[in-house]
Amino acid sequence: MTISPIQSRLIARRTLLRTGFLAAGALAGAPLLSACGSGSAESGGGTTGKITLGTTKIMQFDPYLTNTDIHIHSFYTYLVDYPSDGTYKPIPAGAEKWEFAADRGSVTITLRQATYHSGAPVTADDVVTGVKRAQDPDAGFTLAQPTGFIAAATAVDNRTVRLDFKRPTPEPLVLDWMFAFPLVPAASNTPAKLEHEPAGSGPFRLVEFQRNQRLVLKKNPDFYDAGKPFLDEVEYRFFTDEDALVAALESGSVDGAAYIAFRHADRLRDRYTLVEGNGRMSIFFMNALIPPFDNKLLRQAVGRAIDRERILKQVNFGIGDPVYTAFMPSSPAFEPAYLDSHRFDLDAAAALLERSGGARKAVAGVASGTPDVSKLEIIQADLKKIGFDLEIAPQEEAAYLDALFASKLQCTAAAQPNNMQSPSLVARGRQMLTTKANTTFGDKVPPAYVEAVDAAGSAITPEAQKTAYAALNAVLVEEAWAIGISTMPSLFALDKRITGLVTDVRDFVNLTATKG
Amino acid sequence: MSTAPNAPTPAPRRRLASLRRFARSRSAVAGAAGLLVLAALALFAPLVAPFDPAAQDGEPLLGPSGAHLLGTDQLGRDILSRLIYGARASLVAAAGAAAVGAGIGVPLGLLAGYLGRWVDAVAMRLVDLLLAVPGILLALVIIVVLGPGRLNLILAIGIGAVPEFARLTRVATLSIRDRDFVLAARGMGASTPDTMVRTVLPNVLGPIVIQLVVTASMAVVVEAGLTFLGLGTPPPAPSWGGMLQDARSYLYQSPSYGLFPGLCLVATVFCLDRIGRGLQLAVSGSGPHVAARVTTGGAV
Repeated sequence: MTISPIQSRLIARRTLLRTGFLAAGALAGAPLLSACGSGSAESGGGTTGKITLGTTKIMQFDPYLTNTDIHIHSFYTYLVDYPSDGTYKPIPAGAEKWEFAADRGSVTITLRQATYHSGAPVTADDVVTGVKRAQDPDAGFTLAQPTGFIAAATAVDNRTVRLDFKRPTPEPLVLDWMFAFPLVPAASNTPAKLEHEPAGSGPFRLVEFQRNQRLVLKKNPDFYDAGKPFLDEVEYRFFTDEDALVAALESGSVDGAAYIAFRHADRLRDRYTLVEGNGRMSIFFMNALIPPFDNKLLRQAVGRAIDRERILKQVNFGIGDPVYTAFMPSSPAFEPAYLDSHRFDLDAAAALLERSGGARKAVAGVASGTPDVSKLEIIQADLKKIGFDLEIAPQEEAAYLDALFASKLQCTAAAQPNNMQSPSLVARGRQMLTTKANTTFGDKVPPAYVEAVDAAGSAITPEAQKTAYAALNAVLVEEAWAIGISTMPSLFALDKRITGLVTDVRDFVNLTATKG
Repeated sequence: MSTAPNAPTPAPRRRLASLRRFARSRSAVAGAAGLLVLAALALFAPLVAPFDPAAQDGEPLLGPSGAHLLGTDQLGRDILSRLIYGARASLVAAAGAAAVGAGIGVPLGLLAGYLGRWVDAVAMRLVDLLLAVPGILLALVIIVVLGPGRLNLILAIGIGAVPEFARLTRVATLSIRDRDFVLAARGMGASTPDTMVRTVLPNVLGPIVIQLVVTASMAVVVEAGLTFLGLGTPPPAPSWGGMLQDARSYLYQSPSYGLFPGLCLVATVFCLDRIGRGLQLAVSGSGPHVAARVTTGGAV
């Protein structure tokens, strides 16, 4: 097509105008865009600013509960911290120093001089009250079992507290407890009071909370760690649907998406900073109270029919590591040899199944729409090859949890928390308790397991610990009601300007060193 | 058998005329043909499907290829085979739900329309109760109470369809219960049940048949919806709704994965809709009954 001189002039004029508009727009838009972003006051990794994180997680302000991983570290200070790299070198936090008695029968903790968000000082009485609450099985929630080694807590003076143990207790177990123990004012330390409002001394204070909508936190200027946190403000926005959360991230409505599914990783990797948290473990639980899994050989057979490599590849998108017993690779009780000696082997599974002489049919409960359905489908297909019919019954999440806690499921795939550096903490979960409250065995918890947990929780010397952990692994493998599948790291996708967001070894988000 | 002396048109002739009217609608014939093909595929799935739909033998999330015409899903299963087998879940749910809805709703409407008075009042209040709860919510509640499973799914959808059948049958019955041929049947000594079943019912069947098709069409969608929510056909049995749910998680890795079950759903509903339209044409003016209004949306 030829262009006439007039057309040419018109085009030139249009081009000129368009270029001019673009240039003007860019000049006007640049400051506007930077003002619209929820970004930092200083760009390029500055030390102040605001970030907005999206999450689908529910909110609780009670640090004794576990479903508080997204925000609870912002409100509370714990007695000690661990490095975020998954190692267990204690870092003084709420406790300035601590000293174990020579016989490992007690520890004396000196609290740091600090204040709560209310302005009241942190005192030894708060620790004593907190220990009493943790010892109450009805109010201690997930801290109840880990507090079991403490006989008494005594306030020596205003900033010193002594914990007397029931018997000599290994340091790692005490440190894990200190790491999980939050400082809460004595007057506020009840489930009812902490249900609606946090009461801690952590790096951020609560500004606003609209349930299922948003949570706004502001920097605590009185935080013990001078200069931290770096952020001035953090806003959490709640999403009911994970795809909506990721869409919000991609549209720029939020600066980061927390605890997202592995399937998003590949797509978001180039445009966002992906942070893998320490995560939890995925475990296949079999209920020994209900046939057919009251048959130990049958449980062992199923344990050999779990194809961890395939689950990691196809369900976890290659993220995570295989586990056989319920210990993360960072645990001193992690025993990689079991992944070889008890590897996926359908012939071995078939032989065990034959020897078990048990029924060849079971139903697996699972929350519908979760990746656990796909894990069970892989296990189901493999079990079918050896003549075992595993039916999968997806349920609405609330109904599933009710059935799980009421011990009504024959088997399921569920998450188990990290047992840190104390293998005896494996007995925290309902399926793993050493008491008759155990939902897998009821009042028939194998005595060998009870003894092994007890031994792991009292072994002081490295040699004794090694022996105790080996015995604990052996009984878990022998009884085979909780077969490890893999670790499940948590996944965060963050705007590239955000740095320093980490999770602790329990997989709780820590924003103290985050910059935006 | 009691025979109405002044019935306007003999049944065989009426049926033939209706069939001719149906055949004149090309889209209805195309819909019927499409549904027949689908039904044949579902019925002969083991012969037609290239792979076992539960076999996790392939590489996951493969695109369409010679080996797997429509690719593979996240567990390496052949999507085409799962689509073919998945037609079973949809068609069984459609037929089952329509049968449950009609099986309860038609007798209820017939009794209410023919007997009237307190029977009518009680039946219609029951129907009002069912109508007061949105269909999908009713189905969800039934599934949560009875538990997931194919039979419970059919019951849940079918019970939601009862009000439409009951009201439709009642209206049609009311319109003919005092007609001469019905009075004649009664006059010749036919009992009330006999009159209802042998004289009234055959003359109200037209709109009921259309409602059956409409209900089947909606059942396909609701079955897919409930399975999408994880409350329908349990895994590993293939279902188009379940495949859509899985595909949703892998839209970026395998965009074509979700396309195929979606297309199957659209095509099936389209076929049923065309058949329904054709039946509407066929039924209108083909008998002594009043061309009753057939509900065409939002019933389930």
